[in-house]
Amino acid sequence: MAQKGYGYRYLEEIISGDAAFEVYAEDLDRLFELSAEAMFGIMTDLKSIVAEESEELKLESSSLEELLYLYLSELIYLKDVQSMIYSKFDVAISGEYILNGVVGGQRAESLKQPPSIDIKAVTYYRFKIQKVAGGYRAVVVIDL
Amino acid sequence: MKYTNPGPLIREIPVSEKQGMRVPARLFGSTQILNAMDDGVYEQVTNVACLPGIKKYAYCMPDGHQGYGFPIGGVAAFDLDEGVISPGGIGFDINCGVRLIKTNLTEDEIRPKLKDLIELLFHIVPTGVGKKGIISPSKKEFAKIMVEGASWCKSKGYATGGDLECIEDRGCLAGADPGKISDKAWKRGIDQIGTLGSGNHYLEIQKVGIADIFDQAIAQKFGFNTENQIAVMVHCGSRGFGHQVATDYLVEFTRAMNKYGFRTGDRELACAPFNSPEGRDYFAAMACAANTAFVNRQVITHRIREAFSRIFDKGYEQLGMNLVFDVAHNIAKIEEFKIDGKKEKLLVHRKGATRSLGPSSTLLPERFRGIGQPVLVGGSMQAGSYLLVGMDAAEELSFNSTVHGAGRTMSRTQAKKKIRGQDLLKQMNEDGIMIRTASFAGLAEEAGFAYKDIDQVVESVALLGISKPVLRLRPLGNIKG
Repeated sequence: MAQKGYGYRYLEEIISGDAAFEVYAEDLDRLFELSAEAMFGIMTDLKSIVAEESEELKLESSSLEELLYLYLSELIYLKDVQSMIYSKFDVAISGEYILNGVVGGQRAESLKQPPSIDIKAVTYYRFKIQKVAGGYRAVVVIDL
Repeated sequence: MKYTNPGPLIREIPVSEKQGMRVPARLFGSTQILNAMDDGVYEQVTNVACLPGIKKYAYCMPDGHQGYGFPIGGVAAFDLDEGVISPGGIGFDINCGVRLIKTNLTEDEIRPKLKDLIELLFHIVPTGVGKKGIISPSKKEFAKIMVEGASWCKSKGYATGGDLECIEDRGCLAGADPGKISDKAWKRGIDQIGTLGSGNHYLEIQKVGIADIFDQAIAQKFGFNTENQIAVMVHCGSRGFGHQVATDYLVEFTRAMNKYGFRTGDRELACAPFNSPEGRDYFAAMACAANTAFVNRQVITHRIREAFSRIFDKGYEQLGMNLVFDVAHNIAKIEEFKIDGKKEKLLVHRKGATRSLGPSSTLLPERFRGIGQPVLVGGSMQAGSYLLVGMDAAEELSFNSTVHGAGRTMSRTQAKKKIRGQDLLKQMNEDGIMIRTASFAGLAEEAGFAYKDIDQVVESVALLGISKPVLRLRPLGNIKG
């Protein structure tokens, strides 16, 4: 969790079979980074992941919410094709709306503790980004 | 919401309950089941009833629970010209389904070798996160898999002709077009064929006790005639390939909503006219994923037969390892129904619901005529599962649809708080159920108490007359991701 009340928490009441979380962050870059952290945190304890390999990514969208959807979906895609579990996320959002990012993680087969569950897809269920006092809030539900 | 009871186990929500409802919504189940359903189910099934071109009713089966867009257990049929197609009515795991393979072994014969068998299955059927598939097709072969489905397996020696007859639609949905698949979906899917996955997906060795046979004549026709006979159940879908297809088209459909002037109030219910470029493209891509899922389950079956052959030192034919049936429970298909006395082709969405053809259906392969289509209802790994057959009443009552499983009632986190994976493993071992899992935490999340009572769910569809129980399968051993 980040400092000063910023961070994420899992929401159990939203959906029984899957996973949901809410994120608070001081700015949009951090909101995206913490959302990615919360998403991979569903799979395993990220403290046990060593960021041995990294990947750069660039995404564009005409809407901020869609950009978050595309970003998290891109990470799920990379997880599968690269067989990686990611734990470090750097995001820089510019213009309306371009995302430049770097993700770092570890090969799934080299983990000491295998993930308890896979993440299949990002849903649009209750999906939102809101401007709130002190920053931004996002709600995301992940299909497991 | 206000409702009426037009018949036993049917709760109907009239169109007056929500602005925009085009047809009433119907939920099936005992009073106990329907009262326990979360409010989200009522909200979602009435949202479905608002979609353009919907026919008769928006349905929710007795195992229904809250999903995305459609509830899990949701069924809806749409006019092909004026209706829509919605990825939210199919689910992210396109053609997630269940298959059952019988054997002529008994519990006494399998018990001494169960540990070795489970261990071997765990090693030769890739299970859990990040595992590569059993086969590594070239791009050209992967395109064939998408178009041909299970018949591709026959050409490669992974399936027999008898297998194909025992798969819904012979394991192939028409209209698949690999040209409608994104580069990402190609890459994500190509090396996952023959993998079980994680979550509630499993491979289970089960037994059928004589006392668990409810219709002896039909059970015998399916090859179950010995006390404590062994069968194998597989529950999985199209894996990352289907998840990517669903994600790609959810984004495209969300963007296209304005173009068609649709408003649903729930982005997961994003839809496009079936007869539109977006609608046709998604259907063609969805069919690719559905066919790949049939191949996935068939290739796993091939490995299961190999494992049994190795452990029992006999060919799988000698072990009587015939496919009983394979059903899809996350899919949309074009089917024909009578609407106001006239036959019409409709696009039927089944999300967490199973097709259930009665004995009179002309769509049944010869061997199931007069019996009904086998329906597989997968339960939790502690409670076991059911084999049912479709009944003719389902055509009028539910667009030939029935339940798919027990339905979750508890979150994964709550389940993990209630029991540790290691303790559950021990408890199940004491109950005679052997488990091999990739993750103890993942095991705890699938504890039996996290699911509805499967007996009640099955009793509801039996009383409704849409499916008939044939036998119950109890778990002996399970591998899960």
